[in-house]
Amino acid sequence: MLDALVSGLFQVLQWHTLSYMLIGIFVGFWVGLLPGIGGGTTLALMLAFIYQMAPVQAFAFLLGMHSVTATTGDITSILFGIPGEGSAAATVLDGHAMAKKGEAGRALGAALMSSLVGAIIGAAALALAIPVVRPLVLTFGSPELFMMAVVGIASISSLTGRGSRAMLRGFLAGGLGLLFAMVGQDPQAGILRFHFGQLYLWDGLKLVPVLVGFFAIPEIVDLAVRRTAIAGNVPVGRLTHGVVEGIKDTFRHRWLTLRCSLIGTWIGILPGLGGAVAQWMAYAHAVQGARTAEDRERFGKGDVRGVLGPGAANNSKEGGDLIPTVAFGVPGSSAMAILLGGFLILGLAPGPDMLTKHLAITYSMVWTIVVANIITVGASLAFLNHLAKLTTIRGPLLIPFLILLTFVGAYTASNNMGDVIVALIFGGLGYLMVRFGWPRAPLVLGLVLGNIVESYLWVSTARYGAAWLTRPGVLVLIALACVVVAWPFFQERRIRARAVRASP
Amino acid sequence: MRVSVRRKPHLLLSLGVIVVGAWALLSTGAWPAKAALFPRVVAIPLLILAVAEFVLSLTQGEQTEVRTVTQGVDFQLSEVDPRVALPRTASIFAWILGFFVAIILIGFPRAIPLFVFLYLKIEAKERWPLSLILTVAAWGLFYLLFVRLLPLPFSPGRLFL
Repeated sequence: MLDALVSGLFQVLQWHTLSYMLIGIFVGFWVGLLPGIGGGTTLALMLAFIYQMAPVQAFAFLLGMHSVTATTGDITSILFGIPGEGSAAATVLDGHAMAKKGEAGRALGAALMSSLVGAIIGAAALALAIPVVRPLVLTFGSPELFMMAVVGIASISSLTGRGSRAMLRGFLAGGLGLLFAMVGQDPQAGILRFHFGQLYLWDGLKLVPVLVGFFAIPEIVDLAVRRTAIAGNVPVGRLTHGVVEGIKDTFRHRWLTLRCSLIGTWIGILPGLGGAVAQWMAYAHAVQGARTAEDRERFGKGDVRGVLGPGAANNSKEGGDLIPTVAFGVPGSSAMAILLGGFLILGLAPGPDMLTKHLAITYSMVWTIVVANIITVGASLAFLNHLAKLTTIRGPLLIPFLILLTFVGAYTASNNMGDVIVALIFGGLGYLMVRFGWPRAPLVLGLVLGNIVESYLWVSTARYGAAWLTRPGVLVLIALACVVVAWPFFQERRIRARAVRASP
Repeated sequence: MRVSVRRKPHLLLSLGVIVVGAWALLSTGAWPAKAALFPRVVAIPLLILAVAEFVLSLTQGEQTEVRTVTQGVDFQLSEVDPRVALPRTASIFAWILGFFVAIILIGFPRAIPLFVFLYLKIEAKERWPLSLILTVAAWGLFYLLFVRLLPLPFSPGRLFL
């Protein structure tokens, strides 16, 4: 095994392989930066180039590209409030808020370093988990996966505000997200639901236009109202000195980064959940870590922990994603399903062979994730200070470019004007939600998880009747959901009691 | 008690969710159980919670509302005098919608330079040289990236069909 690990590294570091990886990284870097062009789509487009490559070279090219999109997607989210990738939306909340406070450099440093740490942890998990992951994954059936999703929505809904009223709005937003996920053909009976007679909606709402409109338009409106630069009137000198601070933050909050990396890895292993879910779960976990109500209120307004958690999880899920893909041929996400196509093109069969005969190739994937992220983060750090300066450009000069990116970014989802209309509608909704204090995060998680939750609920009910509710794993997860909902109340009561005790 | 939406505009959102929830629930009546199960599981609690939110919005004071907004985990709109903020908000939404209409009528490739130039000249009141340079830059970026490199199919617009 150790031989295969070392052999995998040497194969990745060979001149030809490294060259292909660098090309992949270059493509992935720009794909991640540009809103709308997804890593999955680009992966599909790039499959055509691997026919003449050796397996290690092909995976260095494809995985190098794919693992970098998650890292650079955070850069656009932080600088302009437009998610560079669907899976980089959670970074907008605190990352862009930091940019508006003049801490773009710090947010970028934190996002990149936590991404690197997350990627390494995810890759290490892939290396270590291959022999032991099978029984672990098999303990999770449809009922447990359904409950996992419920716990996710409950966490983010209950943690996105303070007090019962904020929680109520959190659950309303989560419910709305679930309802939006039902637009289009239902997976069980093939009935068309909430489609308003539009062919475009038969396939359901596409995530990219929803996210781009939902997050970008409120920020653009706010920038137009303020008429200042994104970073307000903060001196440029302060902006560019934050990168090192952001890197230090990653290690200052090392346990949070580690925990969120593990969350990302685990979400990656579970089939169907994907990067967007990993980010929001990690965000919820970061908020949950707040010690006091005041501490929690800092989230969403520019707290570096809100950048570190999603940054780490988004990248660690790559390693996790690969575990079921390589070990069982069960892709953990749509991007991994496309990668499976790569396996077939190269004449490889995912499954036991990848853990025995082709173990060195499997380990070369681990090294590709690590090396590609080190190169990307190193290259990005070299000019992060210049990127941070973009936040000092006058708002009125930036706005037409931001609107242009929002519209074109949304349009790239399916090259249909319906994408632009969806972005506009969700932009309006996002603005109203921000204006009236409704949290947006639960809506996004509801939308991302809706289809998965529905499928798991149906399979659980059809297979076990009501008995699925009594499975031990489900009971544990129900208890966890209850704890997650009750926790903020408990925390607030404890704080109030402490304040009463402290008062004379 | 008569409370106008003008005085409590946040009622609009909870009212909207009530309408959406009720409509979703009514729609499930025509579907088979397989397709209706999950929408009902979601729409029923959504409707109940939305009614609760509506009632609370009606009965609780302005201070509670402000506290809920400021304590939420999301960004807050910048504090600008409402007399200034309102026309600026209306103006930016008008520009966004105007760009959308231009795309429908003359397509992305023509609407982009037109929109960028008009925005910079009329709204941002930039000088001619800068407006022209940025317009060319925006169009060049769009053309190189989305037309040449990733050949995306852009409609020429209704007027040029």
